[in-house]
Amino acid sequence: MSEATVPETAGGASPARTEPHHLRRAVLLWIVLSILGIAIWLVVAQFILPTEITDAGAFDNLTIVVFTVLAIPVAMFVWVFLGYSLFVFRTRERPTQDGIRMQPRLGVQVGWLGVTSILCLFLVIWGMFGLYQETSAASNDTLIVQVTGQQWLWTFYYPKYQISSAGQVLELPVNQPVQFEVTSKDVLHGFSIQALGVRVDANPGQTTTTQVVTPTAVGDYQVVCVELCGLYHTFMWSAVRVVSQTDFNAWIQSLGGQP
Amino acid sequence: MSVAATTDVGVHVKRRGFFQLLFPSVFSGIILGVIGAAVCGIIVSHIVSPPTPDVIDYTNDSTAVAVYAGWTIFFFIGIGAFNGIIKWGFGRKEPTLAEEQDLAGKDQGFWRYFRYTTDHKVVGMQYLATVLFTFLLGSLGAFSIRLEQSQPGALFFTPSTYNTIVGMHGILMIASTIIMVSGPFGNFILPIMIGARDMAFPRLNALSYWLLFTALPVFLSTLFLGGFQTGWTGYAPLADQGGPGQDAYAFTIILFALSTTIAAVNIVTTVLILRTKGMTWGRLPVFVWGVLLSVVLGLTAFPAFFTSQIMVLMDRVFQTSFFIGTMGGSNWVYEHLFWFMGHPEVYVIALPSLAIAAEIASVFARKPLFGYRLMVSGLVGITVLSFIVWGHHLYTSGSEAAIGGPFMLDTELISIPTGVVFLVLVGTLWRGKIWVTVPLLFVVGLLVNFVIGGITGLYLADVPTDEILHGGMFVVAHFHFTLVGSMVFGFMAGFYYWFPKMVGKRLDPFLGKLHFWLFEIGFVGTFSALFYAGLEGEARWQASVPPEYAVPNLIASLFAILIAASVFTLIYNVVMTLVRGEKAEANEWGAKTLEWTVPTPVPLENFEELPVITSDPYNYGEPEAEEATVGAAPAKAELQTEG
Amino acid sequence: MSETAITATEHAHEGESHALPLHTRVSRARAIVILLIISDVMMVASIMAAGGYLNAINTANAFKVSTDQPAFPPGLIVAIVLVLSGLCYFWWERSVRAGGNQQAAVVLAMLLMLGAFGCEIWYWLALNYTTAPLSAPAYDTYQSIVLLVTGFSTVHLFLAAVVGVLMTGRSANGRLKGQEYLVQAAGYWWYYTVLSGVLIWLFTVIL
Repeated sequence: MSEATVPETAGGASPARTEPHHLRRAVLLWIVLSILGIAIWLVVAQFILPTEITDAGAFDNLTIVVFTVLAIPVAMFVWVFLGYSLFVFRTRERPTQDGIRMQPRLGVQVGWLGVTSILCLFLVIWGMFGLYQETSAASNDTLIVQVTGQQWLWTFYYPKYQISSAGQVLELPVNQPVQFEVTSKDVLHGFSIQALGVRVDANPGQTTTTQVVTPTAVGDYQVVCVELCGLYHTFMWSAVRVVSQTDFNAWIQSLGGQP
Repeated sequence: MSVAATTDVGVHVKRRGFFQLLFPSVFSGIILGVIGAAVCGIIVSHIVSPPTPDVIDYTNDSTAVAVYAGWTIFFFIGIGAFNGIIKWGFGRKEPTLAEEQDLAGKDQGFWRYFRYTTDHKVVGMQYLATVLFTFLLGSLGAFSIRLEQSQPGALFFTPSTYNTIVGMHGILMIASTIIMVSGPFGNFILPIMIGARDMAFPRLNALSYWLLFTALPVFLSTLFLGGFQTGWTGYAPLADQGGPGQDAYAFTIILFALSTTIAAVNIVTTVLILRTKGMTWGRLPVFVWGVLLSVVLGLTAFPAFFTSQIMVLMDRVFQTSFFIGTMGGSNWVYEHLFWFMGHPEVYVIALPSLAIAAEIASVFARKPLFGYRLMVSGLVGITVLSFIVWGHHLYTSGSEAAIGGPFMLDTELISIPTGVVFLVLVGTLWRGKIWVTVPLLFVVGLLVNFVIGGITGLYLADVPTDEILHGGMFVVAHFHFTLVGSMVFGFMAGFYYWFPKMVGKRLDPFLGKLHFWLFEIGFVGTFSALFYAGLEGEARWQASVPPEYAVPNLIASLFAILIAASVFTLIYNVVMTLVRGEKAEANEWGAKTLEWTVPTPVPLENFEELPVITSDPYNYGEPEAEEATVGAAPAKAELQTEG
Repeated sequence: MSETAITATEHAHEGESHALPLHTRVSRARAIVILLIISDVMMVASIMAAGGYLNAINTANAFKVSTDQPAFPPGLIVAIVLVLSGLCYFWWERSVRAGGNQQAAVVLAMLLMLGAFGCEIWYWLALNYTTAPLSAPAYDTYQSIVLLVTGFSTVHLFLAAVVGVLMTGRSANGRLKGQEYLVQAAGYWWYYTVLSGVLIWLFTVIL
């Protein structure tokens, strides 16, 4: 990809035969390590990617995988050429000779800028696509949950059923779209449910909304606060329970609402 | 005791009375500052709250601000800073050469570091000592954090103390990294590098340093006032709550912003007008470009931060409501003001370090920079783009003004000029004659770490993935990989590179390499573990680590022990070298920039005759390169310096 | 009293280093003032942006109460005095450029600037924003912005007045001979103070 100029040697001929070998060797090493790196990543990814149970979360995970796949060759490029230089071109003692004069040809500059721009463009388009997906409006059967953050707990109100959840537990029915409207009573808080792929700040005097997400798996998750809000910021978490529709209805009823 | 060399004219040792040295000096400054602080505090506390017969109400915000203001103003009176202004306006005649040299610390020996000395080399050393000190304090904070987070549960600190430690670690490190290159090296090395005798405004130079100095006690006073709960970002309206420890933070920022603005003005003017003959923009060393662009960014970005802290202080002292929702205020205005500064600020930190990396790569590969124009364009591109990306800190804030799409585009775009910088650095090393010294090792570390730091930034730049990463440890690991793993490594490279010139002694290379390896291994281990914790969902600012993240946090804390060991290695190396290190050569590394053509220690006015430049300093690989760099022959040390 | 003899090399430099060539000193003076103006503009911009933004989002509909609007006359008077001060300074600058030094002009300019500073204080007093007991937010956000802007303006005018005093002193001591560029450079700051003062006042009028 990047071709070093054939040096216009100044004083003293450098052995022209070994020059291409360096570049070829480094490029080969780069290709091999990139493929290896991508392979390892694809295997390892499933173990380190966060848990997600919504399509928004799934798309986030896919984004992480794809971006990393693109990033690995870029990283390897820098590391391989750097490492190769350090091992092959190092001098034992203080060097007595200068290195060759080498300047990037126009081709190198244009090529580099071109490739990085294309990569960048891809990232932007991917990101725009994801952003567009987020902005889908709430449908009629979206469950709205009004979240209020305060120092140092969350409370949840379901306007549809006119109940407030006890013990700051957030219970959600599986396979139903849900959207959160978040506000704060005092300072800034950060409302975040990792597994659902939602995060929005709770601002005093304002109501902010998350995207619409649909949890697809029953289980226990967490709301955590992700904006430092004072003394007990660490302890400002709530349990999230995604349960079946029947369990959810029973829970609503137990709190005095009409499902 | 300093003795001036004899010349044909004959010279006398200038003996200064102890009293003449002490007044004015930092000591008179401190004495007067403390008195002024007490007087202002007492006056204000009696105006604001009804006078009580016994103790002053020291918890009052207005008293705190009055104390800090009194301290600052009277410190500067005591150190003699106002003398210059008064003489400028009301003096009968221009200052003579002898007066200027006296101000520059001539014949004052070691004392000149404790006075309002204008010599840029003195100011550079003052900055260096202070930066190392604040780094040490910040590191102690870091080790405390890792100690606390090594196991779940609150082990050593209450949440209040922990929040304060996190906040102090943050702001100490941010402030240190902002000035770590432009302070010591921008002051000491840069004027010599452009062939000047001093900065454009020597007195303002001293002012910028002493403003930093006055900010330190103001900042540390937060420990006695209950600390501050907001972390280094100082988000309002949380900043409106809490005790006067928050006022200490806000006032520190105000002083720091003034200091960096004055330093910025000085550096820009110096580079604009004091370049020596032949030093065109195309021959300017990349280091100078990096510092210049960095301070231009700082000059334009910091006022917004300044405004935000004024607003916080007004909310606290005068009960205004910039950030109180019920009265029409909004925390979003704070966030926009803060991050409008906050993002350019990380490039203020980055640009000088990347420029140092370019200098060092060229010197230790003994090769020209692989694209001087390319490098400068990359730095300029980063500078320009950095103004229009701040919204990416606000993706999840809910503020409609932080429009995700455009900010995402701009943030991703910055990767292009950054990539150009990578190309130049790697290309410079490729096929060079690489001398693996400690400075070069740190540049290698910078390149390795910056790849990771830069790539992880892409995930955060993407709005949808930011929804699962914002405010978590992934962000923390990302900015540590960039700011510490890359930029502090760049500072370390510059430190080892220029230490022989600034101090005149040679740091032990073995200890230097040990420092590097301990730091790099410890650093990568610690923050890789935290990347994982962040992916799994650990939030930031956790005074008590939740049990599900215990393992990565323990691993991170164990690796942090290596970082601690590296810090102590550095301290040991520096102390031993100062005490009994080898003398360094004038051109320790065989480099071609102008600072290596002057003797060590550097004479008061740097050059015998100002050099004339005929080429850029990267023309390695040419047999006739040796004479081409400098028009005048390097000076022999005819005038020995003092101290 | 101790003494040092100047060495031969220092003698050689005396003309060189401490009398920087004139064009360098002119550029230096211009550069510092322009850079400080840039920094100041960014601060003014940040204040105005914050005010405009808060006005736009109008949190809880509580941004402004109609009685918050400051009375028109005091601000107008400040603006007028400022402009007069600027004109006086320009008069002085023209006299200096013509080779003379109409000292009355700079004295008048300085006094007018001090006058503007005083009027700004009067403006602040005339705001008449009631202060609630210190335990509650005393001022709504609009009032907060006006107070911030007023405070900022006051400091600005004070700084310009200081510059005026210093310039008057230097002029009176005859130290502007050969250094007329100082008058021009300080003039940049003077006119900037006038312009920004007027613009800031207009900002509070239309906010």
